[in-house]
Amino acid sequence: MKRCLFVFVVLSFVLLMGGVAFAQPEASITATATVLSPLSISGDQNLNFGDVLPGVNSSVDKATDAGTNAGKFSISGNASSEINLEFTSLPSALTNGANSLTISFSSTDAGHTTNSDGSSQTAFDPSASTTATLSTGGNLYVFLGGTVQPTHTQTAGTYTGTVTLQIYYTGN
Amino acid sequence: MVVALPLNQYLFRECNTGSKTHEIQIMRRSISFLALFTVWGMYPLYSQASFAPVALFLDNNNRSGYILADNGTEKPQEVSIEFVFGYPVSDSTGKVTIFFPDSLTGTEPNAAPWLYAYPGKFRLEPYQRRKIRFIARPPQDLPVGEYWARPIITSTEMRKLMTGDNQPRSIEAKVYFQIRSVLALSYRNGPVSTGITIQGIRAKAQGDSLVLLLDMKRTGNAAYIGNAILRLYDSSGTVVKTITKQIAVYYTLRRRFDIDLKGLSPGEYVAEFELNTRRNDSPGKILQSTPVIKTVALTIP
Repeated sequence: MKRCLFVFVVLSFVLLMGGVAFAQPEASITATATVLSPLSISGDQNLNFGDVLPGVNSSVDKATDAGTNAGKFSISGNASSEINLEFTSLPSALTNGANSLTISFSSTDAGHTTNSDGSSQTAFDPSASTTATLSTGGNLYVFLGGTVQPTHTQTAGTYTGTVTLQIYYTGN
Repeated sequence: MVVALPLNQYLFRECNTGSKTHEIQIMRRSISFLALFTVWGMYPLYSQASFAPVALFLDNNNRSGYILADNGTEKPQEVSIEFVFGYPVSDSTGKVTIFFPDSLTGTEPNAAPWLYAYPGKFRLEPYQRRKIRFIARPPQDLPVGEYWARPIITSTEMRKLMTGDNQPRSIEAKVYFQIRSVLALSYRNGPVSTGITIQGIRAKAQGDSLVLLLDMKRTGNAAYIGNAILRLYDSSGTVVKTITKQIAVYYTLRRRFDIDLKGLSPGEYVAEFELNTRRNDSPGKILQSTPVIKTVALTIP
């Protein structure tokens, strides 16, 4: 009797498993991955005034010089997300050792666009924060121009400074 | 079965059925792929510095996490991390910024004082990727609730010192860049919940657009992270416009929706706002809440 019961149990198990197996010609799995929301920023092109002459102001335009001397940042992230841009430090002078060269930024010297060539920029004041939206491809480009004002007695040399761009998702 | 995928690689798993191991044939209609690759790999490698994820959620059971820093250039970067308290606010026009209080009263849900980054300052070699670990060490008597901080990651391209010309004959001017990436971090201590109410909807004509201002207020003890969906219905009940915006309501927030009137006939319309928490940018981390829907009648002259 015990042997019959054992055989019955084993057969039932085999049939049950076989039924399950035949009922599932296609198996299913769920695969998940953690999708990281990135924020990528590239300082693609420094703001470069090149050689300037004593006593002659020299300007770089954010749009017309977009492909050459204007400062350029590339930003990539979540498609269509809103980000906030802010130049947290704009120098009033570039320095070369103890010497300084005056630099200024007008209220329209910054611009953002979804076109990498700098076309169709929306101007904004680099001294204030602004909000922009990444393209549907998740891209945005920021351009910066400015003006240096060498004096008539400006000492020759290479003058440099640093601009800080702060960027963040607003979460909106 | 939950499987973590390696970066940018498709997954083929083996499944044990009965006594034999069979490789599963991946069939489109039978497999639910929630994600096949990470977004990371979709971004070009020219980037100066990449950080992901941009929002980090810690809690009293999981007090550490990390972000990945990636230097996609051939030049080394100097990277440093600091924490500050801040949260999104909006002005009267619906423009959203992050508010960093100049002074704190001590009553703010400020996580910055007890957050630490390891390493806090380092050199990121060309094409190097490394983890920055964040660890929370909150006070033991921290009240239940959600606490916020903004990790600020400063990256600067390391430059060679200028040897210079002892007797330069020209004046050269150049401006270099430094980048500060501001991320979001939330620390949840104990049970937290969130919800939202619509405080008001205002409409005004502006040029060829109809501007709708949506005022929201968070409920519960944690930030409301979600979406605001505007659907514009015509008099026949057909949806003629849909605008979706992400929202992060820490206290209150005003969002602006611009509806282009071109192509819309004069007449009666209904604007419906739906607020929900269905976000996929931080899987499993967004606090869920019941959707809120509110409608308002509009007349387009």
